Amino acid sequence: MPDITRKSFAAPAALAALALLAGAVAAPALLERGAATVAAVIAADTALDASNPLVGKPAPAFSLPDQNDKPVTLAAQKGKWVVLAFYPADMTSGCTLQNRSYTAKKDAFTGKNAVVFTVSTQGTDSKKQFCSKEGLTHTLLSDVGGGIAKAYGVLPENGKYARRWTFYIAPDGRVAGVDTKIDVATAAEESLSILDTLSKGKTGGAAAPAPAPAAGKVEMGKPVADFTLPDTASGKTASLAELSKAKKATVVVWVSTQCPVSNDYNERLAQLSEQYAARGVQFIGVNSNSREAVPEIAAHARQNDLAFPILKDADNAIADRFEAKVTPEAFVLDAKGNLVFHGAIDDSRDATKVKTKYLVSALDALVEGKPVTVQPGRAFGCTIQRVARN
Amino acid sequence: MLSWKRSAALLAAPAALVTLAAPMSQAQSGAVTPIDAAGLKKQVAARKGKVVVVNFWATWCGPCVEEFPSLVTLQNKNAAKGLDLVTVSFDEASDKGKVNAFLAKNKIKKGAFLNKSGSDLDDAYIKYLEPKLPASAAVALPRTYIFNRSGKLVKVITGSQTLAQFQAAVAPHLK
Repeated sequence: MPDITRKSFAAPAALAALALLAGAVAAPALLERGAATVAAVIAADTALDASNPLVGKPAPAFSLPDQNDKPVTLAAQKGKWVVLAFYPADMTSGCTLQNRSYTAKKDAFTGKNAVVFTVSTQGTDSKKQFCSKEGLTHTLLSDVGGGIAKAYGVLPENGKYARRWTFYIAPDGRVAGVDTKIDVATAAEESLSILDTLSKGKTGGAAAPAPAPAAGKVEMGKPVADFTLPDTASGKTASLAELSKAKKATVVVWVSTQCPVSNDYNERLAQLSEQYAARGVQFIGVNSNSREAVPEIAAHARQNDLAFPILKDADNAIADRFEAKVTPEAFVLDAKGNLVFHGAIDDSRDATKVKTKYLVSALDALVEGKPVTVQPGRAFGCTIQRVARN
Repeated sequence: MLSWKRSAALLAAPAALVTLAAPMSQAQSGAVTPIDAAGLKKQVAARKGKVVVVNFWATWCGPCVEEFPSLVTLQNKNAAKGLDLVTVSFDEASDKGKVNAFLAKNKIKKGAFLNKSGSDLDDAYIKYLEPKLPASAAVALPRTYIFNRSGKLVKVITGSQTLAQFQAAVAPHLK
């Protein structure tokens, strides 16, 4: 399951992606509406990640020491709901709020036949300190080495801190829901309302009204899940769904300001985007290079007449989802949002030597409502400089 | 790691000067010879009995330029044990001077080639060296291929490596 660690964009809809960016703003607003509404809103917003591969599967077993060095096993919780909340580190501000929230609402969980465990990768000594300092009385588990975090897919590759994801395990031991967007201050209240929703028989997947494509890796011929990234020219967020709305085709092309190969395509991209805009094709540039900052990208686009939006994928999460490796590398979505093209723009970096224009062939077919039949060559260029994951 | 900008600056601006400053024999005789996938296959076959390290690089590729000195050291350290380095530059023919200057600076005198299709990748290379790579998968430089003494491809390495990583990769085959 190596791919689940990459799903930092868990919920599919544009709304959910916006909620992710808006962060803490969304959840307190929900709380003001009372528990019943909250449950409904949570279901509608697909706050739960239906695409997590563990949903519906037996939860990975664990036996971990609590803050008093007493072992706690999942097996012993059978017949109860288990809220398993992973958090990055003891004694840090967000984690403190989250843990305080669970201690404050401890009794409310008992009333719902549920038990809460918060888990991080620090040792029991650290837990003991954390508890006495913050007056925490719920159960904190210590997953030293991150073996359990890994089993739940919350430990980033080569990382030592768990992601802040919360798993809801049903009384039968199966994972009923996974929440990847936690508001630390109201974590317990959210958990309680999610438990209400889930115990009524709705799982994360079934609760979503019209399941949008899951935000996993893109696949040829399949719908591409929406994403939202900041536009380097305006600073505003832009989403794939909005940009591609009512378009016959959408080109998503990875570009760079510094890669000489990508730069040799500036002129071609400027021309193509302009020519095809009139025929209902949207071009979107994505810059995932960790060493290329927004002002540099915006200036580069102005200098090279790249008039289409160039979005900044700062943590290369979108490059990971597309498995984009180089610049330039092109992807094309048809009018329905299905991925129909992945490869090189054409067959030569030197514009005067081009024999086959792969991207043009694909776009010509799509604007005429025909299927894409061209077999593009593989993209060849500069490696996308990804961020180091910790 | 060198950034693209830095490596571009290192290569682009001083390149003209380096070309002039490089030893005449290297820069003017044109150390690199053109090659394609079939030619590379022949070069590897001709080195049977040796451990052959084939490196794909380009002057425009920052990580390639960064790791190149490690490859040179690898070659120097292991030549007596039967290691042979073959480099293929994916630069345009018009950048041949830049390529030769870079090779001269790194004291590479043999086994250096220039891809016939310049900085375009002829898929025949991938069919030969990485037949299992999906048709749509993008290819980035650097790439290093290790052949054992019987001429069998035993390792494909993508991305920039350190000397220690290269040494560890060839060690089992040099015994």
